[in-house]
Amino acid sequence: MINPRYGSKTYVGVLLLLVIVLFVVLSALAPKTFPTARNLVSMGRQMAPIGLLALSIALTFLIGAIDLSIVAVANAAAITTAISTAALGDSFGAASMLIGLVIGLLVGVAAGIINGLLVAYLKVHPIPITLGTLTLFTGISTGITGGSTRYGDGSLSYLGLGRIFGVPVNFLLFIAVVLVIALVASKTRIGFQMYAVGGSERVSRFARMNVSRIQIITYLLSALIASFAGVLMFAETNAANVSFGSSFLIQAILVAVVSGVDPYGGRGRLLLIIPAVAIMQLIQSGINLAFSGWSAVTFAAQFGWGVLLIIVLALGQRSGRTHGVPRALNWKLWNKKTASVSAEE
Amino acid sequence: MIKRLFSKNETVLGAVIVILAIIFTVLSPQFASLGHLFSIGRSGVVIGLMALGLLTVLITGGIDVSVSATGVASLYITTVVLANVNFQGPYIVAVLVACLLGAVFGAINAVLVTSLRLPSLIVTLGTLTLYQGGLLAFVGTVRIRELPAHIAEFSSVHAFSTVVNGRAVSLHLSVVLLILLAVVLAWLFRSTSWGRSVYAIGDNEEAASRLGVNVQRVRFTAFVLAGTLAGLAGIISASLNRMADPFSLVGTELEVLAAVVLGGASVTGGRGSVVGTMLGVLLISMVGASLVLIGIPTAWRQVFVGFFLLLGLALPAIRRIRRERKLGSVVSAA
Repeated sequence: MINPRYGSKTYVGVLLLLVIVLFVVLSALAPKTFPTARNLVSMGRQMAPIGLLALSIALTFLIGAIDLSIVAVANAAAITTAISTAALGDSFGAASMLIGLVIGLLVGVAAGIINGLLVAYLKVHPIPITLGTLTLFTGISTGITGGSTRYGDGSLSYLGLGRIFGVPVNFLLFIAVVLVIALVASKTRIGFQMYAVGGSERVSRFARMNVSRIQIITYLLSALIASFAGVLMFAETNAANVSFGSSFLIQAILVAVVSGVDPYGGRGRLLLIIPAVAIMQLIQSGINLAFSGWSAVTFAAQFGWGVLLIIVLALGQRSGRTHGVPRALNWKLWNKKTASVSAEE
Repeated sequence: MIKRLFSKNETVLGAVIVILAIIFTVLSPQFASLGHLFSIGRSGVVIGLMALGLLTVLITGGIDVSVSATGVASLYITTVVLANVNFQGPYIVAVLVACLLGAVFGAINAVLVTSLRLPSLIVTLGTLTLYQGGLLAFVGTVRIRELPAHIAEFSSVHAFSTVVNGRAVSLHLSVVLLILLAVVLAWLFRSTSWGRSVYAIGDNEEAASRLGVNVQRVRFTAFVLAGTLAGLAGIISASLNRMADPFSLVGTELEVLAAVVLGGASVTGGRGSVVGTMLGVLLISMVGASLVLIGIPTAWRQVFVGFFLLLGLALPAIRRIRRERKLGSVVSAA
């Protein structure tokens, strides 16, 4: 049976094939540096925060919305965790580290509730709302740190640098979170309702779903995942700064779009975030290998992500993956359909 | 009468500005000095120029967050090119080159949005990183202080100068330019068929196209206008800072958006005014330039920008919800 919620099965194959092809090509091009254990471990480590942020975006895509504040939330969580672990030190023994982690995640919960309440009750478009909270959260982080980098006491470094049977801990955590969230989205009542709201907010209301509640839960989960990504970023370097990860937003959106989750809502498989982020990381490694001597390589990569995002979007449009939305409306800010529907009510 | 006046966004915004100005003056009498007021104007020019362009795109129902990257790419490429040919001619040449480059970047956005029919936020978010990344990777990362074409000299060209308490205070020419351009844009919106089409396609695209509006062309011109104004804003910012900095401007797109949204422009298109936008710019630059006076570190500036952006979104939304509730109760009573 074909479940329209998940889109075409061939797309799954295409993504997995791309991962394998890229891996083989890169291994063939750089047999001495690419397929080494060291390189694979470092790739796995880098995939974790980006993958989690992409999962945050993809979740909001599912309900036909978007959360642009994720990187700001991640940084705010990283900074709070840094400050609290540094302040607590060893005063509670091993528990200090857990307290730091929980405080970081609480920042995410608070941010998610703010985003969710604003989107659900003001019924204003999520793009300007989350741009506003992005600015607000970044502003608070900048105000508290004065723009300086905060360091922790290193107690969380196991999360960022540890390994289990050679596999980076943060990579395993990323996979675990994706599995749990994908399970929630596909098997639970709330997951079903998220797909429904993304499909049509109006029909969901007629079906007596509490749309506001679903929006708030989605934004809560999205910010919680983002704050976890922030804690992992901090755990790896033991440092946190408001300006970290400035290119992560665009990369996260790119991964979410590549994973095939429909930005207009209602369709997609969250599990595909894993191959999508792998493709992204393989391309990044390819760029790094090809231009290893060039000082501006990070800026060139930034340029590349911009180009890639537009190409992927254009291809998606061509193949009709965003069908269900009248073509003439697609150029608009986002989805004027839902905006006008909520204005009618 | 008063109720109707206060249902207009511009009036509310004006009142907020006056109240804030009074608070600032009480906290720091220096606020009301002519010198500080002029410096508020000067600090609002770059944001103001970009805001006029973004306003036009927002009214058509799209969005352009790449204005900041367009501005910095235009200013930096212009400076590099003119410095390489050692051009020492009039400033206006630099301005024209920057505007032209801005128009090209705007046209790229326009093509992507209109012919590929992609959502404009994601496209311009993409071009924002693309323009800045391309600039830093392929053009350069060095701050240029030796500016060609008298770019730096423009920083001391004033429209009006006077002496207060023995110190010279001057109003920069670019402030007058901004006001002039705002008046022109307001006239275009009000009195030309292009201006009416901008509102028409933002309000109801289908109806506009049935009335004979060439929707794609109007949309295209809106993005090109935004790019051109961003280019102008870029070169002026280089003049005001006496430096071409490839890392500057990016990030200010949020302040620009905050100003326009505060000014009452609807993010789904069809609504927005030049007066409102200029008041929004005034509020943002007034707060930004005055925080230090009242003893708040500039690190907190962004908090205010975010707060004002959310406020600008929340106020009309709350008004709308109230109105709907009232209508709802009338319906249920009948």
